[in-house]
Amino acid sequence: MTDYLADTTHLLVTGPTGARTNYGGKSSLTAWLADNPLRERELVIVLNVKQDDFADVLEDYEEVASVDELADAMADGHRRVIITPQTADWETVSANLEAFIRELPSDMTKAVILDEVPELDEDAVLRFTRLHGNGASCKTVALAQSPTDVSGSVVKNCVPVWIGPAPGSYDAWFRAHDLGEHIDTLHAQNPYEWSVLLGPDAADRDHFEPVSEVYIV
Amino acid sequence: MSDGGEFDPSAAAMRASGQMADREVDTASSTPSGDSTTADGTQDDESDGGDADAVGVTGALAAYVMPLFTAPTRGPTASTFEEYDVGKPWARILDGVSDYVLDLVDRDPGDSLGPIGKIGLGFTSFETDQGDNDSSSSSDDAGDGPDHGDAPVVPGVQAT
Repeated sequence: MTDYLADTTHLLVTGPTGARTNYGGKSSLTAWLADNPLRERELVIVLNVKQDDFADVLEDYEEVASVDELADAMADGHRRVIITPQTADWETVSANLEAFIRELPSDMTKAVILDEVPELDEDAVLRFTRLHGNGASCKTVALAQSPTDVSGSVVKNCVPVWIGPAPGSYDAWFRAHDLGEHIDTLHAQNPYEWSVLLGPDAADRDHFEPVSEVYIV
Repeated sequence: MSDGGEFDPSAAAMRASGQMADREVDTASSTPSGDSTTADGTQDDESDGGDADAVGVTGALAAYVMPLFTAPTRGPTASTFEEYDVGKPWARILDGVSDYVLDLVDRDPGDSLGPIGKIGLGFTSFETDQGDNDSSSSSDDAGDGPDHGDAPVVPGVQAT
């Protein structure tokens, strides 16, 4: 039933959370995904542009600083890699990563976690979500504070995952995407709880409890 | 390394999948410095050929000359040749040659004096053994053991 967590279904993880709201959880959910369902995939890459402490949580992941170093890590046999760029040029890093994924064998199952999608190279993100699902066997987990910050095309190609309570200011967005049936439930969703919105009806919503605190990054 | 504009995704992917070594060899032979296309780069090809020759000679020296000094010996096999009525100098030379050949074909590593030492020992024995073959047969403690007595001083080889 939850195959969408591990197969090539792209996920767009959103929710206006963060330290100041005390409702943080997207990065922790990402760490849980990387440590659990995504392990079914041969290659898992976390693009950690905000330099969170993923390496402390994902202990068997190799941490590198660039896509070039990712290639070296893979040559050494690593298939679980965190890219923590030491540069503010996140667009170039994400573009390089997309180009790199495109060159890898298509029969290698992959998963790429992209944090702060609105700050990444838009063309690269579009190719990840529009082309690389089936074309490159690459699942994308895209993180954004707000679904309105990302391209409509990205939204269309992803299954929305909402974490924490949804503010009323997003009601229009839910209705515009035929997800209005979920509004009341998401308003009442507790911090750190998360829901996967698979379709317009209430029955199309899978609700999950917060991930374990060990995944807090 | 940084994620700059010079990033080559194809090369990185090949490196990641373990194919970079082959690619580097191909690149070195087909795209020498200063010309990335080399569709008709005969001059570059010639220089490549010269480099290849130099590498080949060096490789041959390493493969066939160095074992003369470094190949392990197989013990006092000279006595075996003597058992076949081979005279002591030639027995020692053949012993060294046999050790050298055995090393080339990667067989039966041993110890003590290197092949060149044995060969040299054989040659020096020509002088000392001329005219006293009888005495050498009665006191062979200095003759059979290639690691004893009058081994010549050969750079890189230590007689034990």
